[in-house]
Amino acid sequence: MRKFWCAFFVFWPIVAIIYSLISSLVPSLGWWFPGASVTELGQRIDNLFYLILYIVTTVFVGTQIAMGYVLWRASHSKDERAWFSHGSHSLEVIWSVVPSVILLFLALYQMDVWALFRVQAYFPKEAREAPVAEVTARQFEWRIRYPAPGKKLQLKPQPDDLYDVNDLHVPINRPVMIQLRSGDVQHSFFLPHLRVKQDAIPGQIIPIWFKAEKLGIFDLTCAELCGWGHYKMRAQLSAEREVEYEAYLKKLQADQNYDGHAIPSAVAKKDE
Amino acid sequence: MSARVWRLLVVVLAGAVAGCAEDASQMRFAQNADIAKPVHRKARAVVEKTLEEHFGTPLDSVAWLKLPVNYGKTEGKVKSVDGQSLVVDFNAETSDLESLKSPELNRSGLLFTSGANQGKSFLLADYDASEQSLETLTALESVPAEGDQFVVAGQNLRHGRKLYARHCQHCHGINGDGDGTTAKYLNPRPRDYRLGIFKFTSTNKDTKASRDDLKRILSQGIPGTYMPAFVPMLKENELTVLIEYVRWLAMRGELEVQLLKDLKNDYAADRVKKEAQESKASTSEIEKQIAKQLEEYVANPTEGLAAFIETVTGDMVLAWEGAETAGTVIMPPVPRVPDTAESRERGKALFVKTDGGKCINCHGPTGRGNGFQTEDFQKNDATGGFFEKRGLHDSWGEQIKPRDLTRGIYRGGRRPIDIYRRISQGIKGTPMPPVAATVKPEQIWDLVNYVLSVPFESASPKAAKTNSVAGQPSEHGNAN
Amino acid sequence: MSAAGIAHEHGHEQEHAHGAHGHHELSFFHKYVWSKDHKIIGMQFLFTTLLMLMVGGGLALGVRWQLAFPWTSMPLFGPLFASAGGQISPEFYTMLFTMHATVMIFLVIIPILAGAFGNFLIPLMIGADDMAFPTLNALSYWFMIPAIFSFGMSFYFGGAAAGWTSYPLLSELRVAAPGSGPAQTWWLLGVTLVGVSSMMGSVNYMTTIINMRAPGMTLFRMPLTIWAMFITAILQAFALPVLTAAGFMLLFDRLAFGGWLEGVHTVFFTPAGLVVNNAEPTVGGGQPLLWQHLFWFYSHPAVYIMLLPAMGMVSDMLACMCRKPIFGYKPMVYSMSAIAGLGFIVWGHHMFTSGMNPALGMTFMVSTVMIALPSAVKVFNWIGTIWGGRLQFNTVTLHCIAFVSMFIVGGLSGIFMAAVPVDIYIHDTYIIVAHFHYVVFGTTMFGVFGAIQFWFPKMFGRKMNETVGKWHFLLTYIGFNGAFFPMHMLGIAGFPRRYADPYIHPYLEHLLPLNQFITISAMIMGFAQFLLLGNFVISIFNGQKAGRNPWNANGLEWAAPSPPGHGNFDVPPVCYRGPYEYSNPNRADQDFWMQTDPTRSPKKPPEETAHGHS
Repeated sequence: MRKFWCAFFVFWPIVAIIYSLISSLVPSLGWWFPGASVTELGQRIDNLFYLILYIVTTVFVGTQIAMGYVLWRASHSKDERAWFSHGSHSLEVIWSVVPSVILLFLALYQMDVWALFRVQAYFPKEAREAPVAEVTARQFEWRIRYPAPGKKLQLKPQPDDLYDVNDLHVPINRPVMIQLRSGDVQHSFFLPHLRVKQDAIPGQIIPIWFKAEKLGIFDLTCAELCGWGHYKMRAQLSAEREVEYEAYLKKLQADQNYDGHAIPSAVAKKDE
Repeated sequence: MSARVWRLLVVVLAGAVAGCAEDASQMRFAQNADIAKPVHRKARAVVEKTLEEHFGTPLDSVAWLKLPVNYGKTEGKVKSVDGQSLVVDFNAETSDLESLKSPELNRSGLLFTSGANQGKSFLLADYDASEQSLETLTALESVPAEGDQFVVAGQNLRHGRKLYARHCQHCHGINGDGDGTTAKYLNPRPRDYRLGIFKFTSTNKDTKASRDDLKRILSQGIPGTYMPAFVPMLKENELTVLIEYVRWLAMRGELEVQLLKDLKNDYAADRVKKEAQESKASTSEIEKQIAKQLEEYVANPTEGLAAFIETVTGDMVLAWEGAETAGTVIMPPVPRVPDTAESRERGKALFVKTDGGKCINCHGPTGRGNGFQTEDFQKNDATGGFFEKRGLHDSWGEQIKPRDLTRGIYRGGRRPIDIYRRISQGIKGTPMPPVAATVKPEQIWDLVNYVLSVPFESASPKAAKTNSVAGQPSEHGNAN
Repeated sequence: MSAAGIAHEHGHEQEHAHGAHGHHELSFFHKYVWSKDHKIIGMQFLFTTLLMLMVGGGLALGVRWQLAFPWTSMPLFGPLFASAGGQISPEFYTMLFTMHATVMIFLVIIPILAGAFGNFLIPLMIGADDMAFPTLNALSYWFMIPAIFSFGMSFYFGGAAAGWTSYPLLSELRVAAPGSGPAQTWWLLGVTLVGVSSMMGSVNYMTTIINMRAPGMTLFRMPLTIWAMFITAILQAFALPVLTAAGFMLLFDRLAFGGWLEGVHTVFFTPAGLVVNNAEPTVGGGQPLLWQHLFWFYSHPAVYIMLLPAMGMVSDMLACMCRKPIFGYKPMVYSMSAIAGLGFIVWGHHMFTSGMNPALGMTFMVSTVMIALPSAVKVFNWIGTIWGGRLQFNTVTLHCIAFVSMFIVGGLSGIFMAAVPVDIYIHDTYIIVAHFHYVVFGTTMFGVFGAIQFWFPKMFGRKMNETVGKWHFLLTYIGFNGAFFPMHMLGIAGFPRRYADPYIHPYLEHLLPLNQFITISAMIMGFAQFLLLGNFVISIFNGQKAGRNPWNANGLEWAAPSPPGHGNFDVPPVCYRGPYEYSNPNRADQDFWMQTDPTRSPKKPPEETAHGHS
C-alpha cells in the first residue's frame, strides 16, 4: 500500500505535465491559445505567459520530484525513528531569497508591456489622436458609432455619425484606438485573438488601442458578468485593408441615408 | 465496496447521458389561457386537437402537410425505385441541398406533386446523399414512377425549432406567447407572436410582416430593448429557418385565437350553468348535449369545423404571403426632402399641430414622449371599456410609452426610410397611427427630418445641465 | 462566566475547572441546542457547514450540467422547469453560480474553518476550559441561522444573480437583472449576518488566544493551528468592517421607497444617465469601481481567511503523521503573518482590467507577486517536514499530502494572474476558476477533510472508518483533478466565466467535449462526498472507540478525555514544551512528547528544545 500511495502522488503530476504538453503541442485539439496573437503586443503578452510557464513548470516539477522523493523516503525508512530536526536556518534563507529574486524580476519584467497596453501616454500617437469608433456595450450587444468618413470622432453623437451593431471594423497594420463605454451595467470588451480585454465601466470612457496585423474576422465577447444574457454578447471584429475599411464606412453611410430612392451602390449586407 | 462504487458510478453516468436528449413530455404547447378561459372545456379540447393535427407538437411539427404555406422546400424527382427506397434527383437550382444534410430531415415531409401519389404526403426517414436515395417512414401508397415530381419540406421548421429553443425560447416561450421564463424581467415584454402582429415592418398598415422585416429585426436587434442583434451569432441560413419557425408559431397562435373566439359563441364555459338555470335540465344532460353538438360540428364537412378552418387558414395564408409581394412594401413616392433647417421647421410645425399629424398628443411638444394622451385613460377596443391604467396601450394590452425622441434611439431602425415608414403607416399593434391618408409624402419627409434632428436640438444649453460625470449629455449616446 | 474564564488564567484553574463548570446537569436544550460550550458550538458549525457543502455542491453540479449539456433537461431537477420545456433559463444559470459561490464561501469554507475547527480546537489546544466569551460564541453560531434564512429567502425570490462579487450596477439597479430585486437585498442581508457572526467569532478567538493560554503555553509554543486561527481572526477583524460598510452602502443605494419618500436613496455606485431595462435614466454621480475596491479589500484577505487555518491544521497533522517536528516552526509563523500582511495590499489584482489607474496595476502586481514568497516558504517547509519522517499512509496523511500538492498547483497558477499583462488575457476566464478552486477546494477542503478525520476521535470518542475514508479521498482527488485541471486549458483557450451557453461563440465551440469530461469528473467528486457524510454520521455511533490520544500526538487537546466533558480538562493542563517534539532523541521510550508531559529531558530543559533552530 505504501508503494501504491507513493506512486499515486507521483502519477498525477506526471499526468498533468503530459496533459499540458499535449494541449500546448497539439493546437488542433483547441486546448491552447486560440491561434497566435494577431497583434504584436499580444505576442509579447504570450511571451510573458510562456516565460512564467517555464519558470512555473520548473518549480512544479522540482517540488513534485522533491515531494515524491521525501514521500518515498519517509514511507520506506528503515530507521526506527524519524529524523529529529526543527529545520535549517540556511535552507530557509536560501528558499526565501532565491524565489524572491525570481519573483521580483518577474514583476519588473512585465511593466513595459502593461504600460504600452494601458498607460495613455505610451499609446501610439496616431491612434491616440484619432479614435476610430466608440463602442457602447449594453445588455446584450455592442453598439458601435463611427465618425462620418473624413471626420473625427466626437465625444457627443453627431447627426452624421454612422452606426452598426455587433460588428466592429478596423483597418489593419495601423494602431487604432476605440472609446469604450457602457450604456447600462459593467461589461468587458474581450478580443481573445488579440489578447485585448478591458472592462466597460458605466460613467467612464476608456480608450483601448490595438494594431491588428492580420486580415480576418475575430471574435469579440463580453468577459464581465452583465446579466442573464452575458453569454449572448457575441460580436466580431473585422480587420480589413484600408480600402475595404473605407468602402465599409461608405456603404454604412449610404445605407444609413437610404430613403427608398438613393439605392446604395452595394447593398448593405445586413439590409433587407 | 468497490463493486458498489462502480455500480453507482455507472448509474450516475447513465443518468447524465439519458438527460441529454430533449424531453418530449416536457416540450409541449400550452393553450392560450387568456382566450381559452371563457370557452367550454370540451371545445377547448377540440381546439387543442385541431391545432395538433394542423401544426403538430414542438418536437414534431407537421404544418407543411396541412397548410399551403411554403416554409422552405427542396424540389426533386424520382429516378428509380429500389424496394423501399427511392433513388432521386434534386433540383440544385431551386433547392437548398445543404438542408438535406441536416439530421432534421428525419420525419420531414415528402409531398408528391405529380404521378400516382400526387397530392399525398409521407414522412421521410432518411436521405443518403452519396446514393441519393430517400427512405420514407410511412409506406408509400402506390409505387412512384420515374419522373414523378415531389417536394421535401419541414426540415426548415425542425431546424428552426432547435435554434428557437436555444436562442429565443427563454424569452418568447415555447408557444411564442412572449411569456418565457426570462420574460417577466423585461421591459418592454418580448413579443407575443400569437396575434400575428409584428410592430416594425416595411409593409403597409394592413399587411403582415414580411420575411425581410423579421430578418432585419433578427439581425439588427431592437435598439433600446432586450431584443439583441443575432448577427453574427446566427448564420444566414439559420436566420432563414428561424424566421420560418417564428412565422409558423405566429400562424399557429392566430388559428388558435380564431378557433377559440369562434367556439366561444356556442360553447361558452358558463353555458352549462346558464342553461341549467333557464331550462331546469340537469347539468349532465347539458354536458351530453354539448358533446353531441361539438361532435356534429367537427364531423360536418361543409359547414363545420373543417370549413371554418379552411376559411381562417386560407385568409391567414393569403395575408402572410401577401406581405411577400412587392406591392405591399412602402416606398416613398418622392425622394427625401433635403435635410435643411427650413424642412425641419416645417416638420416641427406639423409635429406640434394638433389637427395635423397629431404627433404632439403623444410625443409631447419637445418629443420627449410626454404628450397629454399618456396621462389620459384610453379606450380598450378588446373590451369596449377603458383601460385600468392611464396612458397608451398596445394590442397585447400592455401599457406602452410613446418614444422619447430626444434619446436618439429608433427601435424600428434609424434610416430615413424606416422613420418614413413608421410615420406613414404607423406602428402595427400600437396607437401610433398611419398618417399617409392625410399627410403628403413631402410633409412626411419634413417630419422625418425634424424627428432625426430632435436629439441634437436638445443638446442646447438647457439640456446640457444634466450632463453626466463623463461630460456626456445623458439623453443620448447611451444605447444608440 | 467569561470573567471567571479570564480570571482563572493565572493559576486558579484548579478550582475553576471543576468548581465552576463540571458538575451541574444541563437540560438537553442547554446542552445541545443553546449551548455555550465551545465544543458543541464547534460541532453545530460542523454539521451545518457539511450540510451546506452538499447544497453548494448541488448548485455547482447544476452549473456543470448546463455547461456540459446546455439547454437539456437536468436529471432529477428537470421536471421543475417543465413550463420551459425542461430547459433552465439563463437567469437561473446566473443564479446557480452566484448562489454556489455564496453558499460555498460564506456558509461552508469560512464557517467550517473559523467556526467549526476554530471553536473546537482553540480552547483545547491552548488549554483553556472554554472561550473567553461563551455567550458571544453561541451567538456567533446562532447568527448563522438568520444568515442561512436570508440566503434561503434570496433563493425564494429567484436567487441573487449578480455573481458573488455583486458588482454594481447589476446588483444595484433592481431592473438590471433578474435577481437584483428582493433576492439581492436578502443576499446582502445574509452576507452582513455572516459578517456579524464572523466578527463575533474573531473577537472571541483573539481574546481567548491572548488571555487564556494554559501556564507555560508561550506564544511560540502554540501549535501552528492556533497561530493560523489567531492571524485569521486579526485579518477578519480588520477586513470585515469594510465589506459590511460596502454592503450597507449598496443597500442604501438600493432603497426603494414608495409614497412621499419615493426616490430617496444614495448613489455611491451610480453614475448618471444610464438607461437600464427602459427605466428612467439614473441620477447620480457615483462610481461603480468604488464597490470593487471595497469589496476586494475584504474579499482578498477573505481568501487567506479561507486558507490560513487549513494551513495551520495541516502543519499539525503532518508533523504528527511524519512523527517529526515541523520543519521551520518560526518561518512558518512568519510566513503566515507575511501572507496576512501582504494580503491587505493586493486586492487590486482582481481589478487589473477594470479601468482603474494603470499605475495602481503596477504596484498591485509587485505586492501580489511577492505574496507568492511566503507561500513558497510554507510549501518548502512542509516538504521539509516529510523529509526523513516515518510516514504512515492513513486517511489524514493522504489528505495532508493532497493539500500540499494541490496548493503547489493553485499557488503556481496564481503567478499568471499576478502578472498584469498576462492577466489582461486570462482575467475572467476559466483559468481563474481553476486557480481559485485549486486554492479553496483543492487546498482548504482537503485540509478540512483531513482535519475531520484527525480530530474526529476527540469530538466523538470514536474513529472514522479508514477504508471508506480512503475511498472518499481517492474519488475526491481523482474527481477534483479531473474537474479542475482541464479548466486551466479552457482558460488558456479564452473560455470566459459565467457563460450559460459558451458554444454560441465560434472559438469555443470545440470545447464542449472537454466540458463534458469536467462535468463527469465533478459528478464523481460530488458522489464521493456522500461517502464522507455517511462515514461521518455512521462513525459517530459505530466507529471504533478511541482513547485520549489515538494518534500519539503532542497537543494539549490530546490530554483531555475523548470527548472532553464540560470544562474540557480533567487535569488542568500545564505546558512544558513546544507542540512538535516528535521522535525527540531525549525521549527514547516513545516517539512523541506531549506538551503536558512533565517528564524532564535528561540533558536540557524543555524550554530550549521547543524553540528549534532559533
